[in-house]
Amino acid sequence: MTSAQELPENKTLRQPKPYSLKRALLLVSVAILAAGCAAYLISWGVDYRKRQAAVALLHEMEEHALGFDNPPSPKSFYPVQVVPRPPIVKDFQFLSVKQAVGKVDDDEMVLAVEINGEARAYPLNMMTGPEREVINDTLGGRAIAATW
Amino acid sequence: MYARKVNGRTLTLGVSGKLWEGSLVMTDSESESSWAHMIGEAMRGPLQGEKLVPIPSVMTSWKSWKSEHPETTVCIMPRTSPMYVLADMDRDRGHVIGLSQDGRARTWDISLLHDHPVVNDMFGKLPVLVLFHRPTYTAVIYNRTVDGKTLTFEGSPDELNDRETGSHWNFLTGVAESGPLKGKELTQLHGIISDAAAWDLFHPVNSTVWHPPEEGNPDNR
Repeated sequence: MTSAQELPENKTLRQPKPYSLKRALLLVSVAILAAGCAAYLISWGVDYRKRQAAVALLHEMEEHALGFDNPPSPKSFYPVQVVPRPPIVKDFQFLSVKQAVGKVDDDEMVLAVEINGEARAYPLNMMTGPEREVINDTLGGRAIAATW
Repeated sequence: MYARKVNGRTLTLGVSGKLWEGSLVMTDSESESSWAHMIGEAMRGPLQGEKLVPIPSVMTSWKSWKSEHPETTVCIMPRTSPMYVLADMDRDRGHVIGLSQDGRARTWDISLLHDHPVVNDMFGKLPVLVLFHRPTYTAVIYNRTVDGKTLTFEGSPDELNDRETGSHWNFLTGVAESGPLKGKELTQLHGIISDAAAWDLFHPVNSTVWHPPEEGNPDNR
């Protein structure tokens, strides 16, 4: 056997193992911890916004632990069901500025848009909560989803 | 705000009840695909990979919007919250206005815009104008090129002028109301108000941050 043949073999032996037992154990414990926290939070009955923040935090912890820092992609798409799927919102009506007196206050924030000369405002105070975050509408001849 | 027509097909978008990265996932009734709300992209289902076209919108007070658009309609539904009123907006909530297009993203911190309400900035090679009108808590982004000529804006959102022609502009409509460019309109860009942390989650690698020039870092990448 020549030394030239031995060298690559030695090099191979010196390379660290890609997945050590220690790392695997760490990943498993992090996953268990995250799953436990998630289950606890969901059973806890915190309100929607708080739960949203908590789930975001858990995901962030998970990603740091696992070393993911990639742009969002279908590969990393792991949504969590936090509330039942609500029905499509249909109980809205469009009022003119005059008709809206007393229904919308001057200092209320609105999401507003103008398309092809047609303008519409969506009061944010009527678009909160999981049931009302997306409104299917048509404005200026375009089908739009009012959402924020 | 998105157009809900994809490949000639009009979709009915709704809330899925799911969150991803702490952000809303939408489902369309037609194909049952899952859409990431923040980036408008189908992440799963038959339409995976498709993107919704964003429509520029603005967040402002009802008073301010109806005074500039007297013919506007307003979409009335049962009230679900009392919290989105001017008095409650004007505090530091860690909000940014962000712009994401052509594979590039950039944010302007709302609390920094309080002292810099008129920002002439670059978004890649695109000259942009970022405005923040504190009395109505309105942040808006325009392309500041008009007829092929880049303008530089100064003053305040209420007294907005371009240096090149001295024309006077309306910050909410983007229309020149007097001066040599009277009647011209700035193109509004799809700036969205977002929580800074949520923006970072969805734009982890390609997003830059605007810093006030006084801090010596124009960061015009």
